[in-house]
Amino acid sequence: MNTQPWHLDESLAERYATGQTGQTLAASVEQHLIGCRACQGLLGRYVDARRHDQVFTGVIERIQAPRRGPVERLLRSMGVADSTARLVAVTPSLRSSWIGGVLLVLVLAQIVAHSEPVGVALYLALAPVLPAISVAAAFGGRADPTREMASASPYPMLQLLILRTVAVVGATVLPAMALALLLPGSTWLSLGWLLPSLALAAFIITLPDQLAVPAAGTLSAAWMGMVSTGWLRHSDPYAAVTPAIQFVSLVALTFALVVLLVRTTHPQRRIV
Amino acid sequence: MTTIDARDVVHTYGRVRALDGLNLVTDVGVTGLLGPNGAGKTTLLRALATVSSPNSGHVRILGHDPADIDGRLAIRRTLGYLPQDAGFPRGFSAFEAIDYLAILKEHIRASARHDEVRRVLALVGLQDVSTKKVRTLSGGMRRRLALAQTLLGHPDLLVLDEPTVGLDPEQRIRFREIISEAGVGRTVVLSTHQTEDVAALCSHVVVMDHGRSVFAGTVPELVAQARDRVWVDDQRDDRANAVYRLGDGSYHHIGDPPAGVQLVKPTIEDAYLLLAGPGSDASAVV
Repeated sequence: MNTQPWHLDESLAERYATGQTGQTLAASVEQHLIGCRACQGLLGRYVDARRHDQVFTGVIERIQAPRRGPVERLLRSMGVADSTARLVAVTPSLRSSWIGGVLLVLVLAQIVAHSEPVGVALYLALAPVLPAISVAAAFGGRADPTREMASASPYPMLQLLILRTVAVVGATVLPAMALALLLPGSTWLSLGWLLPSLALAAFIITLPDQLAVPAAGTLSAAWMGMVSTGWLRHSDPYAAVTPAIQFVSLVALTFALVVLLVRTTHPQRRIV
Repeated sequence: MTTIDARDVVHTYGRVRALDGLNLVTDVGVTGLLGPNGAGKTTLLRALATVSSPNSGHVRILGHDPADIDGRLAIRRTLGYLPQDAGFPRGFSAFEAIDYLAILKEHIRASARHDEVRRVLALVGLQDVSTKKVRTLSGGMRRRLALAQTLLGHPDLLVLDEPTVGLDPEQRIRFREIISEAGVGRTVVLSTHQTEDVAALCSHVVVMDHGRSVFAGTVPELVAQARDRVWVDDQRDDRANAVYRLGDGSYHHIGDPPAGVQLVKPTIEDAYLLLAGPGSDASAVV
């Protein structure tokens, strides 16, 4: 084995700098360059400074640029703009642990629903309130530590709010709907929670920040109480899914959407 | 050129008048707001940052009316705001945190945005920790990170709410350097409890108390308010506005001196305590 020290000569330095060495020789040169200041100096004479800066900037960019998580990658693959995907991906309650917890609860409710009828009531009690609680967790109280800074930015806060609500509701409602199709009994009844759920979530984002969490808690408790009462009185897990409830939910959803529409088109009266 | 012109500004929280007919006029340069807790500094800075709107009064910021939607947008496009409790999701890296706020500040194109993020991180000396998670950064580094986001896009107005709070002396000096450099050619309004920060940084100082401005002028003018009103004596005199014991056992007094006492040269802290400290007669100064 040859242990004699070797160094780059002018010819090798020029060939390496212009990319004319093979991969094996290039690897040897790079290994040597790490510890040899003399050869680093020699090579410097043959390196195009502009190309060097471009490569270096590219390396720094690869190291520093935010890594895309699964949500962001999914949104980008759907054609959502890079900046929009990033804003959605950092929504506090879109984090994998939160969504994982929500799905776990729903799956467990599904399992119980197939073993005893009370499980259907449990599922109907939980499915609509989880998106509402997720929305409240995303926007209520101090969930977003950047909120004060974001409020002073030119990006419209209402647009950010709606963007994130759609993402949060989509991430929780869509899997819940898929699971609802597996419930015993009528599919229509199994999806009877959907309208109340959307109404709850939409209503919550019309409220001021400080009211979002208490309102989500109160309304969720009211819904769960209604489902429980229906089950206890009539032994019918679907007792809360009445046409009257659907109508009230539709009115509440419409009202919330009108409020949001008015705020979007006439934002003068709202600062954030 | 007047960059901020606020007159007779009133802002209430229920029955509390956080701003009670406040007047503030600033120019390019660093303006420091001094005042005790509850003086209305944060409320004023939030209004200047367009995060909240006063109940009444006339406010013009960089020539725009913050009550008007277009005016507010124009202000936000050239504003850097550091709130008192600025925070970032702790799972973000330093780079990601600034990148996120850069998107909200309309830096849409990724490559240009990333260059801008690198620029502001370098300005606050955090370029070497850009890939570290926010949760692993020290308190001082997190504060510098929060300051970095204010510098995105070369804003004309910086609004900084207690930028040096919680920093050790070395970090405060570093912070002062950054703010001082940032203040060249633009308007900086900062609040602080540290009179040394004001003395070191500010070309203009406003002392606030009970939602009103009780002094506005330069630092030497503020110090002059306490001329011939500070004395040292071996005996404590409780008729003074403020008294504290010195290391050598004598007492430092601020207020109207009795005859024959040893007057000493006032500091900015003496003047501040005279105007807004405990026992001050702020209402008489207005």
